Amino acid sequence: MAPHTTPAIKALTGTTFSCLVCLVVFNIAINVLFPAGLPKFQDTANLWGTQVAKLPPLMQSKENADVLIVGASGILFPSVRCDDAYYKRQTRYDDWYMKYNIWKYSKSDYFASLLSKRLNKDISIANSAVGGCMMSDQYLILNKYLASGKKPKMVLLFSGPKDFMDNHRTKIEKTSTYVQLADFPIRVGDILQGNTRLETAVPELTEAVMQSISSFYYYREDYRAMLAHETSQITHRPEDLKKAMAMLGTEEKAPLTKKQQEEAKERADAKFAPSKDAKDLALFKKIYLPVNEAQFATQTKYFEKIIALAQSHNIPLQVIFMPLTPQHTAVLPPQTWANYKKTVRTLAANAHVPCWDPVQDVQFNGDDFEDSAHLDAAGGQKFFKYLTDRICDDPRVCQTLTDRNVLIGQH
Amino acid sequence: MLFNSVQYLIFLPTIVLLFWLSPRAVKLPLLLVASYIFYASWNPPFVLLIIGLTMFNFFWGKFLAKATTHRKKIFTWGIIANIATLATFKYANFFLGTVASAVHIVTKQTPDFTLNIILPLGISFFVFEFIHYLFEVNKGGKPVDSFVHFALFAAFFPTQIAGPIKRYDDFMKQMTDTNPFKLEYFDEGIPLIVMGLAKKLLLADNLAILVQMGFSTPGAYGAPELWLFTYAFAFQIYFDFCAYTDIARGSAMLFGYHIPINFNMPYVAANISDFWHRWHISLSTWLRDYLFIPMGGSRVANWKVNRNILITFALGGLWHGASWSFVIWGIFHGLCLVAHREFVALKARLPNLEVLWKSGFWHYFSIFMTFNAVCIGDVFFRIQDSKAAFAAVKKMLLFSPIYTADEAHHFFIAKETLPIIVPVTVTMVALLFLANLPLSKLIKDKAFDKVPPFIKGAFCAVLIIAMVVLIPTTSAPFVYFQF
Repeated sequence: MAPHTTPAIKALTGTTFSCLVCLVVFNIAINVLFPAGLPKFQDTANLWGTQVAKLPPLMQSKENADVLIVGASGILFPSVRCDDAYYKRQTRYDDWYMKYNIWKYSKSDYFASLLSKRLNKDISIANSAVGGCMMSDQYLILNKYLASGKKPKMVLLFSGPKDFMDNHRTKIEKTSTYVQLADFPIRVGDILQGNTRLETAVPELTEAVMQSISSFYYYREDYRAMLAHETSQITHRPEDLKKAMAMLGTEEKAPLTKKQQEEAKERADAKFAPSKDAKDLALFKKIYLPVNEAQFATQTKYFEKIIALAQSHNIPLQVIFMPLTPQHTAVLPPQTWANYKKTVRTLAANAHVPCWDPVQDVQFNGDDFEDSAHLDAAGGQKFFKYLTDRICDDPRVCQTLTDRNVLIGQH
Repeated sequence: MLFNSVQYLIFLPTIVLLFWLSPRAVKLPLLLVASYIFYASWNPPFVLLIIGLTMFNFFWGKFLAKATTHRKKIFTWGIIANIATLATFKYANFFLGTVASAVHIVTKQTPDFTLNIILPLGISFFVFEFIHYLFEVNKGGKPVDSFVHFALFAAFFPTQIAGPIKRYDDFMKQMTDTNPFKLEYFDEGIPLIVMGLAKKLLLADNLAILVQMGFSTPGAYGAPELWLFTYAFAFQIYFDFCAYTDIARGSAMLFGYHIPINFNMPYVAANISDFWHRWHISLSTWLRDYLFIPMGGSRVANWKVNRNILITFALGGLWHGASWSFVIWGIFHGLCLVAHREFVALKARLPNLEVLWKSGFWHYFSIFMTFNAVCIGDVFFRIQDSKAAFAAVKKMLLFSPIYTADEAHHFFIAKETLPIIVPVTVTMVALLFLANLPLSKLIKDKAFDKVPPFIKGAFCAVLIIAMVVLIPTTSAPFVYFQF
């Protein structure tokens, strides 16, 4: 006769319960073994050539810059171009230069030199702009930058329509910035502790869940990279296609034919001059259209959060519209373009934040741009001179950098 | 909503909880609504199509059952209505494309007859279930009385999109039975779901990387590489579809419903006939019962049997997709079955070689040959361009070239500059190939049934953890979704 088993015993000895127990035990073991969170393998996480390659060193840096630039490629590109001209470096316009120089660039020395000269004081600038990132990413970057113990005297937030509308980045928590930076475990207790107001607790909880999802993607990517790295060490094979490509580049190649040599020369020449033909418009059409109103509303909230975050740390913040070519702005429906500008202006005004629009005072022409959305060195110089004037001509703004209540510098 | 999506991870437990908490009278309507929501998550307006077809077949079945005269006509029109729906959505563009090609041959102009038609998800599966229903009612089966029961039979979300193709008598019985809550449902269902997810995310999706690499430019590779990609695809498609069936069976089990198995270790089949008894069992039995047998089956002259086999498999191929490559795939399998029939007849005339036929060597040789024959068919399944598929098969069969033309000194796959994923996947294919036989023996001996539940639970937990880390960044939809 079979022994009598109660439903409770059946449940406790069943496969489902055993599986759950194992997962709970695993989770407890991880928490006990790694109380500060799972170890990271950032040295093996392959950020080489990615848009977020600059973020770990930027966050880990001990340098407390006077000015923090927050934005996307709109401000990153002219920073690089102007600095290349400033240091008399050969700039390039090919993908390689973009991946391995522009994406990882975290300075704006030309702009810093202009400010230093006008203010008679060394001004340092950290450039946290990440190519392709949106307001939600910029909020996280600023959040993490301030959380790392650094406190700039001023934050300059550079805005373009792509920060609010990007059909290629509809999931906030899956952007490379989020995956790279978000490592906040869900601590419901912390969030709810002393925070009994639902209207603040719910958004914080939502954010924590979102960041937790990003953490999951980070760890998954990180552990997979680590496993690939270890396997690669054993088998002497490249970890991924990028490294494979690099290895292929080192192999002996057959001599080029005359035609191939001519083509190679044409390609090489193209590296050192921008195309100026606004080929990127087709891409921006896909990015903007159809306009995602819900995304615009969400990113607008993050714009407000950036302002609130800076203000909560008593850091003055300036919002600056990035110049774009008329062909670029024409991609957006006129109503959307007007709404974008009006929204940014209104929200900045509501928060008593200065909002500057360079195109109202400076004439930018086609030669100032390397494509439809990015200023070249010439345009960048105009732009940074304008910014320097705006900062230095306004005593309320410049005193935050000089720590003095007087207007300093000569025109 | 894909089985391997976060949405399903929330949807399924919610519906399971509501189902078991609901009173008996509400359970089935609840499941029906959930099934329509599941379908609507893909494209809401198409729920009307499945509801419309359900209503038509429900009332047509009743009409057919009551008919005393013109029964054959009523039955035929019911079948035509279902096939016409399937043909309109699935085959209209294929037909028009073929016409356009014919026009091009004659006039040298290329007209564009393409219609903007969306292929409704799972239409091939639920239309086949309706046809089966009308067949059974026509044969004297009792029509379903309850519309909710009938609608749920067609729309039941675990099997809605990619089968298995259910039989109404078996499923109706389960719906009418009093089905009290049992913990065993979870102990059987959850491991099936976890195993299914593991097959899809760990095996099929990782194999897909190598397969995609190879079959995107088959002309660039030599025979050894093409054989390797084909083996990888054979396992990819097996694990992909088997995974779907496992998750479907596991999900159904959580509601107390038993869905029949659809795969039974097909790659240990010792001949092509055995293979079709193990591969997509619900489809092969459907084709047998509602296509092959009505055409005369095997009770006719030998040449007619062979003709019936070829027609059945050509149409079976077409069922998989509106493309000539699927038809070729079907005909290839039909030809293999015909060849096997003739070989069986030949074997019977050679009693002297009986020792050989019964030897272990012959058994394993047959398994090897069957697997390779199936793999050759899979090339047509994977490469939609028939010309490219034939070229690839030619290379594979002639073993030419052994080395890739522009890499004459080097077997391409062995190149040290290829990323680690390539040798890892190659090793995976080799291991799967070798593990097939011992695994099938263990399954046959029901060895896994004897494993204590806590070991099974621990194994599931390990699989879940492995899935979290090792799944590819993007998971492709299940291959059979397109059918």
